[in-house]
Amino acid sequence: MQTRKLTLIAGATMMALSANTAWAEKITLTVASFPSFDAAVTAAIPLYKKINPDVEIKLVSLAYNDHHNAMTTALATNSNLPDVMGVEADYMGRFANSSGLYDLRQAPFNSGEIEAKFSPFAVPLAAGEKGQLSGMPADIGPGAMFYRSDIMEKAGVSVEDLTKDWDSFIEAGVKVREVTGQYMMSNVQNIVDIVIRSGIEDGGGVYFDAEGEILVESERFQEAFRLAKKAREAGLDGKIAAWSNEWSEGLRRGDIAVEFMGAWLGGHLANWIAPDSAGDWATANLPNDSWASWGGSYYAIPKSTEHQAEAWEFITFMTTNKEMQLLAFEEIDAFPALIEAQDGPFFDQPLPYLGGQKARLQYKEAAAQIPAISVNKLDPVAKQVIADALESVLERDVAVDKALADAAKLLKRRARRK
Amino acid sequence: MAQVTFKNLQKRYGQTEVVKSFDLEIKDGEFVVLLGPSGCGKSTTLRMLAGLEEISGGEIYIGDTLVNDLHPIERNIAMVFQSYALYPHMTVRENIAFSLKIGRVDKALIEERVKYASDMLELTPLLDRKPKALSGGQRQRVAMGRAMVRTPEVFLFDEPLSNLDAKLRGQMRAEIKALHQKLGTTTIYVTHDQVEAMTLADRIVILNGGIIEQIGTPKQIFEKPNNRFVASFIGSPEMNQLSAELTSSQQIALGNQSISTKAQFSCSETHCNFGIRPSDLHLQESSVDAPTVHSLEALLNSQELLGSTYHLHCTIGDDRFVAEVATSEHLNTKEGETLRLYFDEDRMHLFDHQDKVILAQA
Amino acid sequence: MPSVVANQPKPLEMKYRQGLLRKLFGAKAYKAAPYMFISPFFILFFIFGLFPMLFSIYLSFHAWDPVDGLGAMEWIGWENYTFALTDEWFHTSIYNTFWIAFASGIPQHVLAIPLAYFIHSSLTKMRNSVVGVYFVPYITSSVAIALVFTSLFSRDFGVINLVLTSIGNFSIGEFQPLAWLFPTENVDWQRPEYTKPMISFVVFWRYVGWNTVLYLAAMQTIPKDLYEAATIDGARRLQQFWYITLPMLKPMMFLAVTLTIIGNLQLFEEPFIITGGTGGLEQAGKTAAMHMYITAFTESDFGTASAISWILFMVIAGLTWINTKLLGSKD
Repeated sequence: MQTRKLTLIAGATMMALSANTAWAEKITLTVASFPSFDAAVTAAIPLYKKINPDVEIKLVSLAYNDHHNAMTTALATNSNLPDVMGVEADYMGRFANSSGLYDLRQAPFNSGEIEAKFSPFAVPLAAGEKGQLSGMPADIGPGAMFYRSDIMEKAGVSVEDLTKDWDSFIEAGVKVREVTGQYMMSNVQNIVDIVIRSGIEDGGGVYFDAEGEILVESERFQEAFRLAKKAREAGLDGKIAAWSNEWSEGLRRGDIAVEFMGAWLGGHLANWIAPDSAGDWATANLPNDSWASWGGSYYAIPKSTEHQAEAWEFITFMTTNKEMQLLAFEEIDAFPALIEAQDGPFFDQPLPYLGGQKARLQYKEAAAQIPAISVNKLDPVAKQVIADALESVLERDVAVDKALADAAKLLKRRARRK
Repeated sequence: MAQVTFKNLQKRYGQTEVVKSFDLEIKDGEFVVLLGPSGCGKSTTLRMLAGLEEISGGEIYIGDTLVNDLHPIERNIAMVFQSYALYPHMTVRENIAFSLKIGRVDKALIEERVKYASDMLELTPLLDRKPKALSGGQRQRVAMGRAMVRTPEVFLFDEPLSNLDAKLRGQMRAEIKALHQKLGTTTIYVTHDQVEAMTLADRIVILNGGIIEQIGTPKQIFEKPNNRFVASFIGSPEMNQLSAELTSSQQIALGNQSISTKAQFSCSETHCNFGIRPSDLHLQESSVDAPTVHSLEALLNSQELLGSTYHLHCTIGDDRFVAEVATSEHLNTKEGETLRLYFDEDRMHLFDHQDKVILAQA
Repeated sequence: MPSVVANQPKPLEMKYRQGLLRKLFGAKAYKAAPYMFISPFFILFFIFGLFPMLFSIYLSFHAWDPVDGLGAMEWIGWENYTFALTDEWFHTSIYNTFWIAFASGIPQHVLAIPLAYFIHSSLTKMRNSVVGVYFVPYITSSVAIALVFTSLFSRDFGVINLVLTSIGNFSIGEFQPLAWLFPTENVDWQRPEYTKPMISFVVFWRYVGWNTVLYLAAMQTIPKDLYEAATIDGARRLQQFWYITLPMLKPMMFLAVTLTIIGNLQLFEEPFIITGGTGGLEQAGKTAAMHMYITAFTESDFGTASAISWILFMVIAGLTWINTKLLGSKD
């Protein structure tokens, strides 16, 4: 391992040398990021300094929305761009097609050589329509189911009941509701979000296929809507939006028995949402052998940079250096995208908050299983269309077929420039 | 129509007494002017009568009705304001008709009344204009029209002419006078302008510092002022005041000159003030058509020709005074020379140390 | 009189200070100084005001994904306009905008005028503090407002639900006399049917004080003797309000209503923060300005967003024109 790292650094240094004749001159690399992803950069600075003392890292951090809006306008005008850009997964799909970012698969970056080092689903999320790759994955959010083991026990529901398939999950939910009165989930929207992402072939998309054809009328969506409607009618969800007051308060009081989210929710639960419920919460994989990811972060290099070699060097350090990846995991709960870093004693540690489960191994398995889904820049629009369609099915009694047909029509209209 | 009675009326703002014991009876149809310098309480008195100010003490009757606690509308009065207070968003017609509209008078009757008022005030061609398209005099007439259309028992005017230029003021004065003669409504008119008071009033009430100084007809007020304040407030140029000694009941010393009067005066203190109006001083004895003529020697300081009259600025001892003589009487006296001024004994006024008039004893 | 002339003092020699700038730059440059001093405004206005405005006209005729840089602009004529005008989401957002504009705007004025009249006529010592209290929402940070209102309107833990349900559940024995009018279970204010009323309420709450201050300022310029004349003419307080105050407020009503129209049709902050930037379920709280923002920053379609902004501009201009016809003075 040690030798591999050394050769890697040596290679990077060579590149830096060739790109920059003024070897002794200090170079300042501007990195634009957002909380809490920026904490990884802050943590990296002393480490990076040891390896590369001649490069100063200057971190520019803005709030999540502000950062991405600023990057959008910066790309639009090709000005005020940083040397390295942090991008969140939701925005990566849009930025992937930007001509203002380097295609990292091209020389001198040749990311193709190292892409295999990452969880397979993470790389395609940063890939553009023309096969280019605009971002390198730093962390990922493998999906997990968190549940209150005490409530399940009281209701006589086993983990097997929860995970077998969705209908079994809903039945379990009815039991929970009957016995304890708790909600089985915050919102049935979660079921849809997971089901529409299951069973996608590698390379396929959620809402659009590789050719840009609209997929929202497919079996996945039909099933997702059917299940959501069934769950809503059974009164399983609290109709609560994630991150609202009701949501955090519901989780804290145990009014919500199950939540689906990225693995990092475990940290949030332990730290601030429900610190008093240590031992009551447990985790399992998503029902019906579904695999999905919540969020993730990437690094991209704008073409305007004068320090492309240093920028690439820094990115590879952040994404392919095992120590760095593990450090970020420990510091900010950023699950490593680097497969190599998904190993070791840290992963074998039992988590006391989750009743001593070795949960990180479960997340690792999920990370390996998540299908490689391709993204489309209209995904955010499609998400809104599907949310509206779901609302009409759940609350306005619109038939699933009709709602999805309408959604497809709307989406087709909005995808007019594809 | 009604008489108006004030009984011991008082107004206080906190500790400040603005009107102190105001007693007055106004006869039905009378035109009474409240005259005084600003801050004398004349407007406050009028506003208390109108019901725009609370009454701190005393009583006001209109007719036989005690109106202290009545709403303005129940007092059946109408008022013309200094600023006219025309409603700027309404036409002349609407302004005049407003009180009738509020009183839910029949529409045809309103029309008739507005026509009557506007004909009388020559406003008929202007009925559809807004106030801002009117001249000052026209606005003034609209304000009067608004007051008269209701046929109130009492008209109140609060300095109605002070926003007009001098020429228009004279014209409007005549119109107000004519209106009063035509309508015969009891009218109370507040002003600080003595000319308005003299020309309009049946009786003038002179106020100073919240106190009535004198009540009387214009002639009484002018010729027989009760005190030095009234004497100097009325008349232009104002009455000359010279310090004098009443050395005996018929002997007045002015500096080193002395006058032996026919009438007898008595006063507890010898020091007094000798008052004479500038127009009562003459340069020739023959100009004074009176049984008892006196004269005084004075030093001429300067003189001003005003056309038909001369103003002679003179001194006797340390006292300065003015004589107003006809141009024809003028004797070509130069500045720095002395001259002799003649006057009728009946035209002189004596005021005691408390500024009250000392009357000649019969 | 020669003696008087001899006594007159000698004329003084005055040494007035010369202007510093004139001394430094000379007369010619001094004349240019006013332009220099005013130039920062114009420079900033051209850069941040005029240029973006003109650029957005240009942009509205192009298809452009901003992340592709300026070179990616493609001329498409009126397509953005026809798309926006025939777009269901845009229709919804315009409907929402008008709904909220009326539901928040009309009560604002209907309440602000009597409120200002009350403050004007009945309060003396307390006036400034009362006005201040009503004005506070206007200057409060929108984030703070969002926090307060989402807490108040929280379904399970909000004060508003607590009050409503405790009234609804008020019972005499078995009988609940108020249950027909008040909810007996917590109301989910996130439901689309409540989104617009909730936003309208917040907007109303936020700007009623501002309008009150406007009307109060206008009332203070109405001469007192008009009211006295009206009193003598027999008008009681309500009639004075109706016949004197209201007509005299017309110019201010024109200004305030114009500001409300412009402000309400551009409504963004309140719905954005209340719905968390999404527009709410079924986009029930998505205003036209929000739709524009989402089109630009979520859909990455700056061309259509620019077209929407110009359509919105035309709508506002049209309504302002109608308002001028209705309330503006003719003379």
